Amino acid sequence: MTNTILATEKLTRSFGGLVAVDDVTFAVERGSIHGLIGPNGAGKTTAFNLISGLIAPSSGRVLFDGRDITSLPAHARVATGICRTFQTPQLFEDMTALETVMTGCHVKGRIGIAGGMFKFAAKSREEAAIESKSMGLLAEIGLADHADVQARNLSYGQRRSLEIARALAAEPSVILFDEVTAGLNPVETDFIANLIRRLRDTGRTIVLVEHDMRFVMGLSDRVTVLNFGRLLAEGTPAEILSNEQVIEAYLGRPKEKVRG
Amino acid sequence: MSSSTATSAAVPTGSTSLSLQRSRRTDWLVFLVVMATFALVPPLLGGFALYIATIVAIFAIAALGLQIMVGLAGQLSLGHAAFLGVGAYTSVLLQKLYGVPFLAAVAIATLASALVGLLMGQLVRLSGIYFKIATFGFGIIVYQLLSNWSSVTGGHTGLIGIPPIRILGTVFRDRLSMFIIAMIYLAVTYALLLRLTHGRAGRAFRALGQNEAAAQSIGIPAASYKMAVIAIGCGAAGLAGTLLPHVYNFLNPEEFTWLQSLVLLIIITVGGLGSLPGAIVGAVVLVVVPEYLRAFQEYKMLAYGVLLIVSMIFMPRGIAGIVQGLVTRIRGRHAPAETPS
Amino acid sequence: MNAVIQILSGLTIGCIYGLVALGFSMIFRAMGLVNFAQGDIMMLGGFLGYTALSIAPELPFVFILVIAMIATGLFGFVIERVAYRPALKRNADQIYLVLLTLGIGIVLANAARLFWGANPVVYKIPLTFDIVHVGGYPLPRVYFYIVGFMTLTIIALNLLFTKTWTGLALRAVSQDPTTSRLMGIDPGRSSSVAFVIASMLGAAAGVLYAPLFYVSFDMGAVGLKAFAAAIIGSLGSVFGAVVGGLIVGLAETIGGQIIGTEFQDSIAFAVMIAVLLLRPQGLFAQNRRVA
Repeated sequence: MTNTILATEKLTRSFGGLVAVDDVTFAVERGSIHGLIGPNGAGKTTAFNLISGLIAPSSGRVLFDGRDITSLPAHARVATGICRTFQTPQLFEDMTALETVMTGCHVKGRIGIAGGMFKFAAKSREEAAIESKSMGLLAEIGLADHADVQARNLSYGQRRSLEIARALAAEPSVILFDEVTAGLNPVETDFIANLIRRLRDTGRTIVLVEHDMRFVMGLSDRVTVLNFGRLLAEGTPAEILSNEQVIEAYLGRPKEKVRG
Repeated sequence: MSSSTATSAAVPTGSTSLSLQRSRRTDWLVFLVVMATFALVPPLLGGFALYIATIVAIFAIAALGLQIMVGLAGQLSLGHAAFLGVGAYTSVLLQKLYGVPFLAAVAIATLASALVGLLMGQLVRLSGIYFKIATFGFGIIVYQLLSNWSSVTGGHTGLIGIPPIRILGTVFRDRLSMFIIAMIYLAVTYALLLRLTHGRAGRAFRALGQNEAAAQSIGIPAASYKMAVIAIGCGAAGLAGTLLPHVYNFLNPEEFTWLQSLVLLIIITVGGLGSLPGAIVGAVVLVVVPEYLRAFQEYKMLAYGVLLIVSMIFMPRGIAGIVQGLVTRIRGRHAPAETPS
Repeated sequence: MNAVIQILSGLTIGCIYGLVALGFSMIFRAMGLVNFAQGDIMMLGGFLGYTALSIAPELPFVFILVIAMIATGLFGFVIERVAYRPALKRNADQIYLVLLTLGIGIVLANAARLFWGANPVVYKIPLTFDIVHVGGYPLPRVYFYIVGFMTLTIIALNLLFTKTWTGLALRAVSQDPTTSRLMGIDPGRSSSVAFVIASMLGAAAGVLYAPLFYVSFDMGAVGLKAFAAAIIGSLGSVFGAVVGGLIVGLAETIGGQIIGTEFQDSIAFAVMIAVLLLRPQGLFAQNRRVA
């Protein structure tokens, strides 16, 4: 067994005639930060949705910890240890920050519908544990003093952080970040970068789907580049930055305009 | 190095949010106030008030279920009265035809309503607008079955000769005991649903109602929770329905029309979408006010419609929202006085 | 009764459902709004036609139809401006919007009851009793008016959607509201247009329905079956609304004969649920977004 935690095997997905992700095979090492980049329309988001289970592949497999999870629906993948965030934070607008993170603890809880109505001691123990864990997570992302603020009243940066805390509440071993820096100012971006490093240092695996090249190159241990749905290159950030195919894909041939 | 260090780094363990505790305590305080008002006011007024309060309690129970389903989990049902009907007919027919004891009949009827709800949910495993219209159609179908399956349901004329409530050999048929039984029903339903909202499943329901994609992204199985909440909502309606024939002393399908489904929706909207006490207050408003304005009977539905539109436009969070706003404002006025700067 | 007459009557009532369903679909396309008051708009049209008739009993039926359509269209315009658009601008919840349209439906029905009374009214014109014989079958003359009007409507809507700027804008808004706004299409204007057209079609359905049956304040329930029709034919599809209407009309007439007329309303919805089980987005789905 290698040290691979997440892998795709010949992953392919087409929409009608368009092949958005074409025969992509790559592996993510346990405890690393892995960047997934590519020009607009390269298939990053589709690949991301295939891994998180939002859509099903036309062919190919997704492996988690050596186990085939291709046919698991999105919500079941969370219980196995994969959690994601969205490009624009998707929150429960009427919940407070604390309730949001407590909701994120769902897969770790045991008390169901009947238990919620009829259990007393076990329920209050679980609730206390969930609340304490959630307060801890809020403290970690710097929202402890906003615990009782409704999600709708938080700033954009705070919403982003809250969404991350909610994902962490599921105690995932792999966290997928979809353009986590989109819409953030430099200070907030730095904060998120530090948070991601800290997460890696505590043993978690991070996959970044990113537009922001500086962010992803400064942070990632390894980078996978997609172009037109195909795997273009893979390597350390330094290797990727000096890869001529990658440069061509991003900057285009001399006549074309700069993209991405 | 353990994987839990990320959470324990800066965490003083056992930390709690005072305001979460406080809001839960407030919920139970409101529960006590609502139930105490119910227990005291109608008996003091006596007579007709007891009868009205019994009917309020029945609609409140159905509305509580609908509130969880619509206000919390966002599964709008336009045929909810049908499930009151399923409960009422199942329970009465079991008692009348098979001599099943009252409590057993109630339990079976509640379960049957929940199961019919599940059947509807499975049949129309649909989202959004398709689900709404399918629930509407389902309500019509149940109503037409009740009114036309004459050999069993008595058709449009309905059933008379409803057996009296008999629990452990004692017969209850006077207004006061009907009222007390309805109060017990209501208190139990309200308490159980309140406990449900203060926990993991309640949070999952709310998550589902507010953002389904996000709910799934954190591992909440949306489809099963939708089915669960439909079963709970329909079960509560069925439970409420089991009392109705005993109070009216007859049973006919006109109590379960599409207009009644609308009335239930208006109850939870006027009371405040998402609020359990709001559902009860809404039931009080929509049952009591028309009773005392019988002279204006023909304006009743018009008034309901206007009430619905006005509350949608001017108080989207209903009566509960207004009360909450007032309370916060009063607290806000007091707060600076307590902590002079 | 003769099967041919049954089928013809089913198809005719199906055209009525189709007209209401068209209005329902158009509003859904333009605003993503499910207008539960559409059946009551049909009722309003029927009553306005009745009032026009009682003021001017000698007026030809076609004029009655046009007057009711214009008056109801104006009414739809006002409702859209006063009630729906503010709510949509506020980005209100779907549940909120559905309840709002339900509220407007209840108010319309019960205001009509106060104004025109609780008893059904009948158009006292020769057309109501006018029977023509075609191939030996006695058929009400209104049948031909209804089918003719339906045909004209389909042609007119087709021209509107393919040949006019307004129609193209309507289609663009329904496919991609954000982009069309960027391209200078005013979504407010599109929703006004959709609402006015839908109200006019609803009114026409009411006026055409009246000589066959009656007009009554609780007729909104008849219009509600048009929802089943619109859904069967896939929400938002013009062609689907018409076909859905015909299917509902036929199914309930034929099914009513077999099972019993008292179950007619159930049949429409049972067919709808059955269709949705087989094709979750209706018969003519085009992979479009579903609210």
